[in-house]
Amino acid sequence: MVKDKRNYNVFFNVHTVSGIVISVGLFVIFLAGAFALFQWEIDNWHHNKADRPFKIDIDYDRVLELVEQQGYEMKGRNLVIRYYKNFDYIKAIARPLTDESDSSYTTIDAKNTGLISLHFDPETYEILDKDPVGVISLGRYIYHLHYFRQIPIIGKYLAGFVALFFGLAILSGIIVHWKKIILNFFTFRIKSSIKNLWTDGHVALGILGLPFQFMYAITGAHVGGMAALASLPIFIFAFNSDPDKMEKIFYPLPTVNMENFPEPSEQTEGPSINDLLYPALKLLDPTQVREGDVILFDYGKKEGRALVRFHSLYGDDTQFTNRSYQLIRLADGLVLEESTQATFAHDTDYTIKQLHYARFGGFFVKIVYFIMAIITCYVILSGVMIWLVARDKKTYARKAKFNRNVGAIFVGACMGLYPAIALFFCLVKLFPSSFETTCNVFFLFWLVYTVYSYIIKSPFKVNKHALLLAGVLGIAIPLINGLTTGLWLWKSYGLGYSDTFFVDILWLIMGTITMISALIIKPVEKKNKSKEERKVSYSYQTQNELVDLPELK
Amino acid sequence: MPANKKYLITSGWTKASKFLAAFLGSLIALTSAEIALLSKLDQTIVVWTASYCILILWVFLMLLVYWIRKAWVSWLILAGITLLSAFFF
Repeated sequence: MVKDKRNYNVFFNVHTVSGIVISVGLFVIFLAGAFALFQWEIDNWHHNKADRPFKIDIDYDRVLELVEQQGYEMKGRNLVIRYYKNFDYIKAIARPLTDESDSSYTTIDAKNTGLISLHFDPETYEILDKDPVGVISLGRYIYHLHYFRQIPIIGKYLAGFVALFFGLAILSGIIVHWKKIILNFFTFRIKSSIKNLWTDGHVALGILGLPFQFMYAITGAHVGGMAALASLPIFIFAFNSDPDKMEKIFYPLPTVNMENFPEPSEQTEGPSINDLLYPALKLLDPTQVREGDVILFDYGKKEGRALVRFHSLYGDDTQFTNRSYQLIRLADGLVLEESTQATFAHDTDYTIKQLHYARFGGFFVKIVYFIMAIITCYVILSGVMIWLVARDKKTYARKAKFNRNVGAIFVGACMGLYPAIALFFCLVKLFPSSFETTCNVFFLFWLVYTVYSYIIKSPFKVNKHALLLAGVLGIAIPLINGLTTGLWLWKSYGLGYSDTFFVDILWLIMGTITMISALIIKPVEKKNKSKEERKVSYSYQTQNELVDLPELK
Repeated sequence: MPANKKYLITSGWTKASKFLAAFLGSLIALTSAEIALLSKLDQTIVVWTASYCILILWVFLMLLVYWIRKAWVSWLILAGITLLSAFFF
């Protein structure tokens, strides 16, 4: 069956090429992404912040008053007041006012009618002059690293492309392994040869993690800008490049025909928004709410409305996404519309993000995701190792040097990231005031480790030393945190610093496991067996070489 | 075990043509199909469903392009999808 052999080789080639091209990028995405799952916990650990509940009762009147004090023209605005869990600020944003007859009216920089974008302190309601989103701390920095935000402009799209190629590698990998999928799943040969060890691990864990990995390939490409890229032609051809039309389709807001409702009985002068909104907020459980926003439509006009929207932390039994909204008339507080059902657009967007950020199911799901992400890192690294080992032959002698160098850099860059992250955690506690230098040290360490790997060119040593370093640094993290801040493992949970406790215990467990595995690993022995053994193992190997090249009849 | 070269394309032009068909051709075919659907069905549903379906189908079409032996056949199929979409638009 020549035809099938051809297909097999073509798909195998697609799998190899797409896999090796994205390997380092994908490894960084998954390892940094595994930590980024806990970005808020890490941020709270970094600054040692105690647990705090979501603050529902924002003083909306005061926020409005403060915005007006800045000298903005408020009549007719659509103002969004937003507050997220874990974000230490209230955000007030509004688009520039539009007036078709006067084009200078709508410019962003126009003094009174332009764009409003203000941040308030949730406790004191002072205006934060610096954009708080721009202030980066450890968790956020690792989150940015996981989609290459440090590379300006193209970083995010690069990550999106890597995710797309990842999807290609997954599907072609499944096709390649289809015929042997069940057999290979139950095969794990530790002792026969290094290549078999890597291959079996690669195949078994690749199949095990398949749903998780494919989900991440698609949602990763989606949030990585590929969906936006694919929507670009639609925007241009179907919507004539009209952003308003596009926004109505993409993010539809509940609208009601105001004429269907009776006129407000008496126009109260400047109604208190707090009084109107608090009945709606009373229905919520503050421990369950994750984000809330209030949008004031046509503010200051007769038909002014307020949309109160909340997302809860977890979905309930009937819905994966959970949110509710109320549309309230500002003049007299009449509830025009309310719903706990998500719309299609909202649901789709939200589901993709729920899946990608593991926002459902609480800590348990996040820990499962974390373990799966580490498993995926193994699949990627073992893929690189198979690529290397398969080329460690006489037929590839011509390219041997090149292959060895590429392999050393790839393995060094992948494995170097793990101790680099551990070092990063140590340094932010040792030198809390100089975060920027710490970031540079982190990258420098990573670079130095890659160079080190390039010099010694032994994947075994590179792996072992990286694990050893990461183990030592990982165990040191809870100790350093205890020494510098006094929040020792056994104290922090009782004092209400559950995030600090969690990150410390996570590193203690990970550091210990890493340390043990670094100490017990040994290089797989080279084949210098007796003739008899070799014969047996040879027939065994040819039989099992089928993993890579099945003889199709 | 690297793939056997005997079964792979060796010509650089065909390789480039296949690569272009896989990445650009597939995307053009899929977005034109989406634009055709947009004119017939509920726009919000189509836009949001397409936002992730295009990504999945894109990957499948990439594999299809590499699976088909001749580059021009895959171009023909992709052009067929595009033309069919234009017809329904």
